[in-house]
Amino acid sequence: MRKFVLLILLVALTYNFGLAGISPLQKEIYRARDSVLPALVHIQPVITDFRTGKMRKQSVVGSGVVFHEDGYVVTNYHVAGKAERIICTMPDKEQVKAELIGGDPLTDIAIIKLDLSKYSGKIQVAELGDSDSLQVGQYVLALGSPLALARSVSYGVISTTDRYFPGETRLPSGERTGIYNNWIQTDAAINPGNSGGPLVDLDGRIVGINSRATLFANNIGFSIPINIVKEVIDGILKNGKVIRSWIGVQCQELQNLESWFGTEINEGVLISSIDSKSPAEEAGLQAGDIILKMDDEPVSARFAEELPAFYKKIADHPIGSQIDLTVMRGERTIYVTVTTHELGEMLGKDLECKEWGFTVKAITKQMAVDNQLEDTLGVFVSGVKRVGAAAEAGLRRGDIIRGLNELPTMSFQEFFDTYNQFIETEAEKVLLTVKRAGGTKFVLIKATNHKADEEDK
Amino acid sequence: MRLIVVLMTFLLSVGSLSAQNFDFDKIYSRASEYTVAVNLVIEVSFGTQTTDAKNRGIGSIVSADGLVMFDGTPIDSEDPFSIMSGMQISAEPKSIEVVMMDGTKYTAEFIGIDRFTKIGFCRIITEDGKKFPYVQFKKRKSYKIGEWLALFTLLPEYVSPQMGVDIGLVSANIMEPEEFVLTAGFNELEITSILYDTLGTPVGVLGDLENPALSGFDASRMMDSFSQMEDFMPLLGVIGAEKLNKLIKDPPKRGKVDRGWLGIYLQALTPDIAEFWNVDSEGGIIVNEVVKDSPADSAGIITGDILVELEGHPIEVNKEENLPVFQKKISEMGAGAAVALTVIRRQEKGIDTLDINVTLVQAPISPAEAPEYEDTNFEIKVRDMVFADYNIFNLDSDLKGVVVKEVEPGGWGAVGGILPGDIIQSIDGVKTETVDDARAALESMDETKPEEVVFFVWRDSKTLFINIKTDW
Repeated sequence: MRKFVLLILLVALTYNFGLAGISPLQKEIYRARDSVLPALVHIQPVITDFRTGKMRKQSVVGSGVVFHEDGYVVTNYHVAGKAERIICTMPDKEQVKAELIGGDPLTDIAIIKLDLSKYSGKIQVAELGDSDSLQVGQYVLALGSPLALARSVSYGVISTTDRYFPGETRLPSGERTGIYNNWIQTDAAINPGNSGGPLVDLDGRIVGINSRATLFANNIGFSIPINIVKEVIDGILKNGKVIRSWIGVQCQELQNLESWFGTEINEGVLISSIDSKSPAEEAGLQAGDIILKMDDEPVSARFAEELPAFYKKIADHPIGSQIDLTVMRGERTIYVTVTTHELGEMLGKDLECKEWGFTVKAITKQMAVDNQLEDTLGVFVSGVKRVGAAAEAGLRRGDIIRGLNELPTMSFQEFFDTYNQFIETEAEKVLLTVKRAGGTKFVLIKATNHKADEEDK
Repeated sequence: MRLIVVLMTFLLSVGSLSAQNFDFDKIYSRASEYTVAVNLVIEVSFGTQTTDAKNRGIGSIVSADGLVMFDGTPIDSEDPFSIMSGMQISAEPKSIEVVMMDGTKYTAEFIGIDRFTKIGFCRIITEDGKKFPYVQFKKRKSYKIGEWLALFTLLPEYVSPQMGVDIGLVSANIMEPEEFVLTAGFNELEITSILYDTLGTPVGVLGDLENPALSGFDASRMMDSFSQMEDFMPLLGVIGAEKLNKLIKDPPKRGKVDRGWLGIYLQALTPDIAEFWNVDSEGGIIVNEVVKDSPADSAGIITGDILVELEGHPIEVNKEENLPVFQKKISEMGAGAAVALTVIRRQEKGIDTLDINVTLVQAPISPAEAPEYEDTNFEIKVRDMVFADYNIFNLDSDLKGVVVKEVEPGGWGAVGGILPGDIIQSIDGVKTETVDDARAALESMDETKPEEVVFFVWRDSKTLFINIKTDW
């Protein structure tokens, strides 16, 4: 009798867990899994960091997904955008090398290409979906390597489709990010290491690239909508980067301010701030102006969530093109034409001045705008080693070196060349002219200090 | 022979008496009449949080009409540590209570704090004409290393009497960065206590030698010096009668300190840079920038000049840490002082030496001294912009407004999104260039009672509009 009951139980169990009893939802999850998991890549880039005053290599872990049969993988900029070399682990656990094709810090997207020459497996490609049709509450999977645990799948719903982060967000490497997109929020678990991995709908299509999570919270993760990513991919594959127009306006939602400015609901975009030396300033735009139409199309941003799309509309203009704006200023309506400039790189390239113990960055136009600099001449000191000739001399992070030995202000290239000359000729003393809050400072580097330093090692 | 021995013994005993034995009974009975405890109530804010803090310290009555001297460090709004930690101390105590050693309590009115010695002054409020016993300091020319000094230390409130003796000795006659008689055996809690020599003469008060490396607004430089513990070792010593009597005669006025100002950004001429430039000087001040229309500008000093002599004396500043010594000298000379400078000007053809006379003007006021206005409806406190604001944040001189000093959590301003540090440029379209403008704009709303008010503010080098919903 006991044996009989056991048999019945066993049959019942087999029945329950067997395929025959699978729920429709489970089937869909399996299907979605099968269409993306074989394209999931575990990424281990070695990135460089210049903030401590020397070039430091750092091994990080992230996720990515193959979207093209030639081996192109999309991931986050903060994972691979600064990679020197990249090792990827394929879904079959084979390792292949990859190279960086290009990155876009503003959307936190990077493209790498797998070296398939020595890969014995068969490459699988995942399909990019449509993020505009997402619904709050819709089921999704997040795939990736949370805490470096490769090939992990988590499951949840879309929590919201247009999460906006007020204020300025910066990547760990210092670039501003997230200006041109809202975020998909999901409760599918996203942890460090998931970065760059796909957010997948139950049709097995990628709807977002998982990029951020709220630490110490339960399942509050954020994905970059795939429709934004698609444009970035196109830009990087075509030009190696995303080319954007810039006019230098900061805008603000009009909610609660309509009666003050005398606008209708859902009418106009409020300019809150004008970047100095920008095309907008040249064109005479002012804080408090309300853009009613752009290129004869009505525009509006009543809520902050609408701002990224407006900024993107400006950025999507060809470089050097004219944007016709219909602007409300107080009681009057004026017409302003702004000629766009290229937005350009957020941050300049890095250089390690190893012999003197500090690192510098080239100053880009955006850095000059951000830091209210008159021009892009000189180099920005991004880090000073604690012990070294530069630290000894009193050079500080954030200083801008404008001149060497009182020669006229120079460019990054000139700095680079002159620096190398000094090292070659073993110059003992070099006077840096440095700009620092509160004026100019003279900093005398004594290279002899450094030599003693080297011998210690 | 015997007589000589007796005489010798007598002389020696007198000698040892004057060296080590104080007549404490006499000193104590006198001191207990003018030594007081000073209870301060101070407003301290961290970010948006403001609380009242109490501080009890020793003080002394220094004039018959009830002028009291006390340790002003707790209300020093320019204290580098509080600036660095983001703590804001109200520039004035909210209330002062002076407690005599017999327990009598008086309310006192704040007068001011001396920027250099950090000695605070207040005056006891009394019915007309009450005379107080007070201390009179006697000038001492020199101090011998090893000579004894005594002071009275303030004991905790729960014991009686509240005064106890402490002794220490002169440990060094410091010459640099400034002359200072260093003592050993006393502690920081005893700062501003009266120092008596062995004859019982009040010679000064205990004070500390300011570490030049830790003074001023330069937080990053303070960070640099964090690795050196010796920077934090307080150097206690004598603030002499001469300085004290000057202060007592003309106590620093609240909110207004006479500080001379040249109007230059400066850097020390280190031996390395002097050698690099072939400048023959033991030290000096490199002029990095000249403030437009400042005394230095008017006198023709230009960027790159090196100041090497002040009033005929060489400026011996040869490292950054000693810059404050020069700044202090200029500051102490006061506005209106004519200052003779010897200036080295490096030119292509060679080095010129020039004599330049500069008439100092009043230094720009500090943020703590700036006029303020507190609006009780919007629950924000604003202050005028000062020179330091433009200087520290590298602001465009065209930027005009009032700086938000405090925002009461949960108030209209806070809920609307005003943050401390915002610079309010206009309120409902009315420009607010001074606290008076802001006051006029906000007080007029008492009558109009608008439902919404739009502030236009500057924040982190961007501007924005802030809508504040009111609830009259």
